[in-house]
Amino acid sequence: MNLLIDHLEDCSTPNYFSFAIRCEVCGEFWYSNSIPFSKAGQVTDYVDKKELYDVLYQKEKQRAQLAAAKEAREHFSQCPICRRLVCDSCFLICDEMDMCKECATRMKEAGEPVIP
Amino acid sequence: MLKKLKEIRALNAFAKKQSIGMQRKLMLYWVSMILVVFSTVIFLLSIAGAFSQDDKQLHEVMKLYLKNTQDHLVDHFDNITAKSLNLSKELSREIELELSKEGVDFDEINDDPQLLLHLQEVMYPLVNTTLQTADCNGAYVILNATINTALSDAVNSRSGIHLRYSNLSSSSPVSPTVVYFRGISDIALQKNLELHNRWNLEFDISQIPLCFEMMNATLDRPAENYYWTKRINLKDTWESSMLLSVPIVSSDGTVYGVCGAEISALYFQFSYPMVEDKFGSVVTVLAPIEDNRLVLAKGLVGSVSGTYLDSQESLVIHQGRYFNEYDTGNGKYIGLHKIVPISNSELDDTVWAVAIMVPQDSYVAYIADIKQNWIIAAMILLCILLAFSFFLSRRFVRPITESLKRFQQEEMLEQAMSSGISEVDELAEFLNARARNQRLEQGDLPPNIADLFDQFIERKHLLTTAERNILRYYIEGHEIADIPDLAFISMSTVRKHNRNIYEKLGVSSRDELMLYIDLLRRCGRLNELL
Ligand SMILES: [Zn+2]
Ligand SMILES: [Zn+2]
Repeated sequence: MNLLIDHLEDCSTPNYFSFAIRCEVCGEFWYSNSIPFSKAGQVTDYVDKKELYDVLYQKEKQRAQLAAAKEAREHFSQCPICRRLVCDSCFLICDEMDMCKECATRMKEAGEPVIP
Repeated sequence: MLKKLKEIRALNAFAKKQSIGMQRKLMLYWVSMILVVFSTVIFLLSIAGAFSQDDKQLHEVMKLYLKNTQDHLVDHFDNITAKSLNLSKELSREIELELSKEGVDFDEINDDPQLLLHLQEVMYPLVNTTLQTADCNGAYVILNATINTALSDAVNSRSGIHLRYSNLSSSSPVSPTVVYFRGISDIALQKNLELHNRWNLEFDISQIPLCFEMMNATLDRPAENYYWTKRINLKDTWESSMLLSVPIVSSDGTVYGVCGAEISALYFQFSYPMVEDKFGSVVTVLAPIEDNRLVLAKGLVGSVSGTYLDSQESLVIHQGRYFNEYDTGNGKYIGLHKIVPISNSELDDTVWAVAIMVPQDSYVAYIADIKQNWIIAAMILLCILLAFSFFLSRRFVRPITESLKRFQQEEMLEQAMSSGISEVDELAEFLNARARNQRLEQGDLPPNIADLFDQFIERKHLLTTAERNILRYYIEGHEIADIPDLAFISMSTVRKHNRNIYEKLGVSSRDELMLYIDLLRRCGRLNELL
């Protein structure tokens, strides 16, 4: 979980929270579902409450980050050989041990990607 | 629950020990109980004197024997005494009558064969009648006179008649023959009597104790004097006898002589037969007591067959609580005695006693026999008790061992069979219930569960190492959701693995997989899956 949180890249806007993880093998980005900020659009109306909203924003962002990590857990594995974070397309299920495409190629291990 | 656990543990201990162990313990318990009871009974019996009963019993029997014998003997001797006293009176009258007819004094009959013959002719019928009527084997009369005062032994020689039975026997139905032992032979010829082969004309009164004294004494009341001599040998014969002596006293107090009856040793033997009792041979003895001794040589002894008595011993008397001991010096007899006053004379102070006795050997043998019987009876009783205890303990242990056997064979009967012991039944019921509960938990298992397990375990070889690692997480109790974090793999990877695992192991869902795992764990076969 911490590994995933560390790899999350912040793509949030003032109105939406969104995170991305990049597969370290193929370089493709995966985006988490964007979550709207509860006070989105009201920022300009209440200048006085800006400080409060900022704190609220940070809290909601943290929660969104956790949710994104949870979401990412569905799709990313850590290659036990190279320790890189890889997407399901780049992660192969092999007989002895699951590993990333590159490691499998290097070690000539046959395997089937989780998602073809 | 703790109690139940203890019971199971106890049963376990039972099962481990052989059933014979319990039976042996029970036997030991029974045997010690029996021994305690047995020795207590023996102890109480010996305190109560059950084992000295024999001496007491002997005392009673002896007392009875002695009383019977004494009664018989006193009757017997009284009869003879009465007849002899009567004989004395009649002789006195007849002699006095004859002397006055002839006109002579008694002193003048010495050296007068004609007068002596005449007197003997007068006396003979009286003596003969006494012999025939009194219960004796001889009768006699001695006059204080002799046929020839000039002879050297004239001082001891006295004229008289002695008639005896000759052919005595205990069982002869033939009436005994009277033989002529002493007296003038003319009378034997007249009466057609056989002379004794040791016949003599006159008596040798030195052979007869107190005879001389009796004839020459001045007695206060001579007619009431009588006494039995100690046993004497009849001169020149092998026979010995006791003689009753009664003085023949004239109306003026002159003692003409003595008369009386004879009881020979042989006659006494026939009259007082030995009695065979369980204690031994009971012998009757009539003997004088001198210095605390029964002097058999001076008395008479009944039939002695079965004993070692030879009628010559002096028996030392040892008084006992229940009976006396009579010691001959080389043999002991036990019995009782009693003083009997058969004589009545100031001249004679012999103390006569009648005794009955049995050889101590035979009594000891009898007691030993009884003791042996006691011991045998006790042993038999002990054996019976031991067998009984063996039987009881086996009977007690059998239901337990049988229940154990049933448990060992796991032959759990739905209806608990009664063992006859409530505790064992309870234990059996409890174990049965537990077994039933176990079966209920596994209630919906198909009957070929073992085959299914085997097949399931066999299929694990189809799994890859990666899949087996996932399976291990499940076996360790993790949920699917835990796996990504634990294995650092995506949930999609986990699902893909799961599909493969289910397919290879032949299960349709994770629930089914978990049921197999659970069952294998219960059966203790889970390690076969890893
Ligand atoms: Zn990739
Ligand atoms: Zn790799």
